[in-house]
Amino acid sequence: MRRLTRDELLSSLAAVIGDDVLSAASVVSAAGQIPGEPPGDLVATFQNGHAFDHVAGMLLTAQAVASEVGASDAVRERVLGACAAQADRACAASFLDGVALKLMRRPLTTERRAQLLDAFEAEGGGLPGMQWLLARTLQAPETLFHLELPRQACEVTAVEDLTFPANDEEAFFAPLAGGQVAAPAEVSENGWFVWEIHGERVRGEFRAVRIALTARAGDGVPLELDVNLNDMPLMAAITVEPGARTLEADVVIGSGEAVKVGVQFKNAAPGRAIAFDALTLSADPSASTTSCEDEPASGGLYTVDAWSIASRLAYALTGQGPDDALLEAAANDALGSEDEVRPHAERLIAGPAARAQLRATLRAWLNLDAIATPHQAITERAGVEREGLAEEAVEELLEYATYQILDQDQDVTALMSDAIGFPRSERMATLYGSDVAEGDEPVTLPDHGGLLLRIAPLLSGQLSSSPILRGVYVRKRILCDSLPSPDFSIVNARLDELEHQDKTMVTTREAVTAITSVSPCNGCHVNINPLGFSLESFDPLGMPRAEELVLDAEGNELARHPIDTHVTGAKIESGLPDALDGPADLNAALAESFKVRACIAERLYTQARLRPSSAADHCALAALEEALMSGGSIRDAWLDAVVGPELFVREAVEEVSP
Amino acid sequence: MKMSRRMFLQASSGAAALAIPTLWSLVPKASRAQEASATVRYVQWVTDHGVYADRFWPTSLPSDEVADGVRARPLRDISGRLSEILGADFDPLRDKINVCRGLDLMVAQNFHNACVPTCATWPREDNHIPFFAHSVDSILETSAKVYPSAVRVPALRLTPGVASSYKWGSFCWTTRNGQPFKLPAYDSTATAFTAVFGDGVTGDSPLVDPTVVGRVRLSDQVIEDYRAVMGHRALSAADRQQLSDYMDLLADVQTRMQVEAPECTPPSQLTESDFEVLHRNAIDIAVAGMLCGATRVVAYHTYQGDPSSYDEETFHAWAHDNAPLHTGMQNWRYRQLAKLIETMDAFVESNGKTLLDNSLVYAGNELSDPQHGGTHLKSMPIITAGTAGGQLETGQYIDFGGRLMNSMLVTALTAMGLAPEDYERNGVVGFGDYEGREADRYAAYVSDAERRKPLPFLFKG
Repeated sequence: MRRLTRDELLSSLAAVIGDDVLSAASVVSAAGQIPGEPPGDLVATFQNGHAFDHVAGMLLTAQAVASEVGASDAVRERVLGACAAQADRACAASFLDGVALKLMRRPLTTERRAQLLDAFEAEGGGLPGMQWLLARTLQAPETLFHLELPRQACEVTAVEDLTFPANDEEAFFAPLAGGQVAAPAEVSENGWFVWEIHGERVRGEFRAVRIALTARAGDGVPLELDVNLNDMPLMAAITVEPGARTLEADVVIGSGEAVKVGVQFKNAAPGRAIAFDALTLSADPSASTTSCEDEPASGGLYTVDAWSIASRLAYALTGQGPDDALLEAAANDALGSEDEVRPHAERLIAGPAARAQLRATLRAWLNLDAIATPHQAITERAGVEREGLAEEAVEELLEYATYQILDQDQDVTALMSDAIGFPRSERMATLYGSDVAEGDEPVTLPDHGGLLLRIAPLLSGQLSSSPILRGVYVRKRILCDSLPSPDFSIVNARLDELEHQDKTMVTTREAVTAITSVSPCNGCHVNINPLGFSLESFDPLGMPRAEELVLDAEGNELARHPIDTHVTGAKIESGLPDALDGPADLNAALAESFKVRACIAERLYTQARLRPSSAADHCALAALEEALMSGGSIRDAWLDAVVGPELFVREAVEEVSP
Repeated sequence: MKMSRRMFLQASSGAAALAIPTLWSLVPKASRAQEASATVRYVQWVTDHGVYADRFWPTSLPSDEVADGVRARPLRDISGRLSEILGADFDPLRDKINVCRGLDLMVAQNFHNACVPTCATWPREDNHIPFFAHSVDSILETSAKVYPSAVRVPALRLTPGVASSYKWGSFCWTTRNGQPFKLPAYDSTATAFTAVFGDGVTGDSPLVDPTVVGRVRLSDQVIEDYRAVMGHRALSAADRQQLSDYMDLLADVQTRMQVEAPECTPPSQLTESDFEVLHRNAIDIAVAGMLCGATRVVAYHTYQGDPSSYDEETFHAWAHDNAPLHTGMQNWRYRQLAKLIETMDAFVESNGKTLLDNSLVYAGNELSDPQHGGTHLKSMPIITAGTAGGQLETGQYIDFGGRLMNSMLVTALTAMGLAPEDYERNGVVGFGDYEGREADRYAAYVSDAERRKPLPFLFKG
């Protein structure tokens, strides 16, 4: 069971409670105490547990939210209901069925509901009680955890009349003179004949009570009776002629309610007696009872309930809780198949929250938080401002990728190769050699394109380009190949050799080749260097170049070298060219690569679940890869990554006594 | 002895009183602070990316044999600056600090880490995660010997200006359900301030304060909500453990919120115009928190490179290929350490000693060799300050001759009053990792008895 991340939690609260409340100073301050997740690849680094600060922060946030909600008439009405100012139990119940349901993403059990309503009343009801209810809901386990429960099989049975004979164990006679005896066969003195039935025996909805009796009066005088229900008069001052009779009155008795029916014999005399036969509660023909049990597991998996499906779908695609349409579908148990779920997924993916979720996926996949800040001397030479350049380059990449995936519904080939972009400033346009992009349409990029040949991944923080870092980026990020970390004692020894090389006499490529060509370095670098060398026609700012400039720390030119981007042994994958003549060849190869498609499938799949993949995910991933290889769109792949057979099941757990 | 209404600031050298305007407002109001003043405090200061040896260590090496295999030289005997990194800011503090070399960690992989100085352990994968996931601060914060009764902040963890969840964020770890769990720290001074001093509204005792009473009542009910959900048959044991953990933490929140706020005027805070001011504020909060009895344990991290720059990727690059820029960065960081030490030494407590004297400050670094190469984790750059109430030597440049740095952490734990049965974890005798290359080199220090010994000469007992 995964806890909500801080971002998921605050996004969910904002969607339900409102941005205006979440942005209030008191709420921001309190929420600031909830620790955030580490930047970067959350699939690899997510820590599924709470620390003291999480819990303390959540308590303070819950109270701050409740306070802010109560402080504004408009917000109070929106969140707690129009009845909130003078709230009664019904108003509180309405809150539980509305806003609380959205926060907790599943309805409460009967017992929990009763506890919360009792707590509301114990806090004095009214607005304070409603604020209390909100603060408690915000900290509930259903709110803070992705609680997933089995689908239930329910059986509905019609309610039948309930009959309790006169000699029922819960029947007795209390003479007027005092005392109490077990129900006699016949009552011949004044007193109360009582059925006192515990609520657990009363299952169903009932609309009338019937009391069957036989009255005897040797003198022919009618018997005078009173009938009470739960110590309140039900039938008063009635007379019953001798003979078998049935007393009947309309009542409303709900399931689980205790029932106490008493019949007072008022004019007992010699020769007069009553033999009670039975008490019957007449069923409401329209009522029925429902009993539910968890569906059994099969093959080690159980089917999760509709509420779990709604929550999974919403968080995977939007990073926040289910919207009204999804909750309604869950309530109607209308999320049982991919056909039923897919329309909701299509709706969600079209919204802004899905766009933000895709950006988060891309950030994690491409490790965009680690994009280097260029060297000052390099930016000065280029005449561009260094401050914020890395962030702007990342933003451009994200805008390009989301445009291609969500707006254009493109496939992997287009994502990896289209020569378009969104340089929103003169600075970025200078680096791209393009026009500034304005509006929703991209501009043509003369020398860049795809996901790799963009400023962000090409930026270097050094005075020179870094073919090794670029090669590692392609290997690990674009191809999802694993590379072991090097032995740094060897790395440093080799770097010391590089330091002694005269950079005015050797190119970066030559220097890197020299220091990485010996064992054991070459074992990994044979897979890294060709990819990086093919990108050497881009300078440390990602701008195209025909020559490599060797600069000192102040940016003064020391030497120039020709660029060689021809490589062999690229080893992208079997079937793709091993010889590349430069970045265009590399880009074209990546655009056709199965590994790139497999990498994208893996990232979409794991980000939706915020966990690494396992052997159990093999089939699902294979299907996604196949679809992308067949030219399917990435957007569809994302939907398929979420809306698949796995959406509906969870691993069954061992039987554990609660 | 009643503490005077105003605390006097004394320079460690006995010179004229230091003027530290931000803490002049620190006036303990009651003898409650007096009770805390004689207890030993622990401050754990951490930074990353190592130090270039020729720019950190004083060139006048320790030469006097003071214990078996241990050499020392009084810092006051070293002429000129101590080093390029330990600049002029450390000169007035020489009698109060130790510069310690010759403490190694046995290691078999040269990865970066978020645990070496605090847990004496190294990550088995390149993911910064410790193998022995217990840091000194996390041991102390849960120790009944350190805290026989509840305090507001058992461990004040600070990563000023840096997200503590970042891989080079908090170096504080515990183990939860068998897994390493990184403990968060405050990156905002405002949040840390509130945690230590409350919301600034003085008034009723928390036991009768309606706000606190309400919170306790609310959290009681929330705990019941968790208990109710735990009863569901479909939940696994692991799921139930998570819910149980939350309940335990919420109970801890209740306990701490019912502790009285420190009875002293909180320090005034400057507008944070740059990282220098940020650390000034953070240091003031940490020092005030200790003086006021809100905490005995501080875990402090410093990651910026100068008043206006913080870029870990650039700093990492400098560590590998630009010694001058890397040194400038470390010089700035260690100056923040000097300010922390200086501030602690500016306050005299009721026993006539300064807060620094009554404390142990242990300053460590993620790495020794910035390039984590052939001398990875050898001779860790360690500074200690304070005598821990007279238990520790000060004023020395000490060479421990290749002992294990685990013993430095054992020294800290021992100085805080813990015995092995209080700090040993995971079935490990001693503290941290005792595996790695060149195990034979450390054979003299890995017996059970040796692992449990504090460092000779440094620890006087």
